[in-house]
Amino acid sequence: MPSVTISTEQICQLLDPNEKKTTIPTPFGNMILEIQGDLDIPDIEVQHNEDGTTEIPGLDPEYHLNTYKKEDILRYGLLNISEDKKHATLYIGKKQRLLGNIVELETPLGLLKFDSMSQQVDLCDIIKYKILFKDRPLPIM
Amino acid sequence: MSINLYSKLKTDDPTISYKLIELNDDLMKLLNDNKSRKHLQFKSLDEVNSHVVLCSKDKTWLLRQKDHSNMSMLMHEGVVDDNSKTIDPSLSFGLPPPITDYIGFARTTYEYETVATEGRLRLENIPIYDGEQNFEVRDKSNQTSFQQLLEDSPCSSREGLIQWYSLGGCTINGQACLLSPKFINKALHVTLMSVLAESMNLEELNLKETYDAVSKDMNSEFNPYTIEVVETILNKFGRIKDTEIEDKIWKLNSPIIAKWYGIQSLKKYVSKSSLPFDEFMLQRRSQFPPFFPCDIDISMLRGNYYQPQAKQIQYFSKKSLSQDPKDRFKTLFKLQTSWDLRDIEPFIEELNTKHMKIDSFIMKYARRRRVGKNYIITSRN
Repeated sequence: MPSVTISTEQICQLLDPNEKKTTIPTPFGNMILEIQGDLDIPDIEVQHNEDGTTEIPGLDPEYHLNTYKKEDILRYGLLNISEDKKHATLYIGKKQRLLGNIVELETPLGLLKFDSMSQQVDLCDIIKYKILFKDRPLPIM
Repeated sequence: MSINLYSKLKTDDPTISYKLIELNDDLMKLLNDNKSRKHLQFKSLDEVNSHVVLCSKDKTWLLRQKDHSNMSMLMHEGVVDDNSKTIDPSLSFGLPPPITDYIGFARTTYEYETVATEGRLRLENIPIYDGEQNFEVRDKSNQTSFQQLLEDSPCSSREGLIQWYSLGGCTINGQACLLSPKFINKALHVTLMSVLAESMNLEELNLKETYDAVSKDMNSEFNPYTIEVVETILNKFGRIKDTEIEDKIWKLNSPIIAKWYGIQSLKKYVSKSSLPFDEFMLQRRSQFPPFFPCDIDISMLRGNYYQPQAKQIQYFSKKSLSQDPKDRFKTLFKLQTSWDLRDIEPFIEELNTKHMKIDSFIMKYARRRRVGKNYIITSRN
């Protein structure tokens, strides 16, 4: 029978009662952003030019290319969280904004990382909050 | 507080994937325990088709994919490689400058729901041992130890062990097997007769002493009641008093033994025709080893008999009943037109999969009326 032991080493620190603190991102810096519908992020490869610059042909200039740990990333928006940590606004491009809330999850979610090469499964975080945008986008005037 | 949001364009490493799993109260409690959390394991019967279960040391949860119409982006805080890139001020909307960056590393439209379930041993390929002398698996490469069986089964090790004991699981010549009911019957009888003859304390039985008592008067060359068989009997009909100590002590469970003998008596005396209760109880008493101390009661045999006429008893196996509730009730009312609620309950409780109150479940398919303190169940027709 295929079976795999789940490594829980990474979350030990989270479960230490002395280390317990509750924030929207977890102490490991992970968070969930949930949107009704989908985010239309271009799913195309980046063209790496000879002069070292990168571009996506035909990409809307609202998007900004960058890299994170040498992986191509694309800036798609700006998130603003209110001071009371209850509300959030998500600005996408120049024209759309979404109003949302910080929601405490009824059942915490474990973040599992599957590595099909090494057949390893890590429970690498426990997430207790999410930022939920459940309404339609509003125009930016 | 403002945050720049990024998303990875494509996954460079398709071998890595991320999923979300619901951590219910039981799982959170388990994760908070240093020892227990090391035993968490995913298991499935095969690579592709079967359900996946999550097992701890003593519990099993079925994993169900809970789809939703929303998109969840999993994001991680980080600093982008090139901080010098300026962002068009018109994209800041007059908000304070972003204090950090978050990078979306995975998107998902489902979570794994964890539903508590009963873990079960996978017994399809486990042979039955009937006490034969030349018991061997034909193909040695297919020999299965109990440890292997446990690893191959969608259940926690504790659930597997409890089932193994209750089913009469044993290891003969390195092969995990189940003792046949007929052989269990003989082995139990021999064990009880032997420990009673040696005036041993039935609440404090040691395996070695019990085995010595059983093999004392064995004259034949082949003794099927090996120490493994005796241990199986002690595990099935007793419980280990202290699991922490190495030299295990078993306490025999008289009600379980009395029930076992009772069911064997039902099969032996009333499987083809009924007998009056009193007569059956006399026959039943005669089956026990002399001086075996236990109370016997007809109620402990509920779920194994019906009453074709008042005060008459006849054996009936639940296994022959349909899995369809309507058909099952129909068959039961054909056998006996009215039932005491307590007598019919063991025949139908397994169909109550939604865990309704048993009265409410029965009333979906039958009538219920109160007679004194008891409830009588009759057909709707």
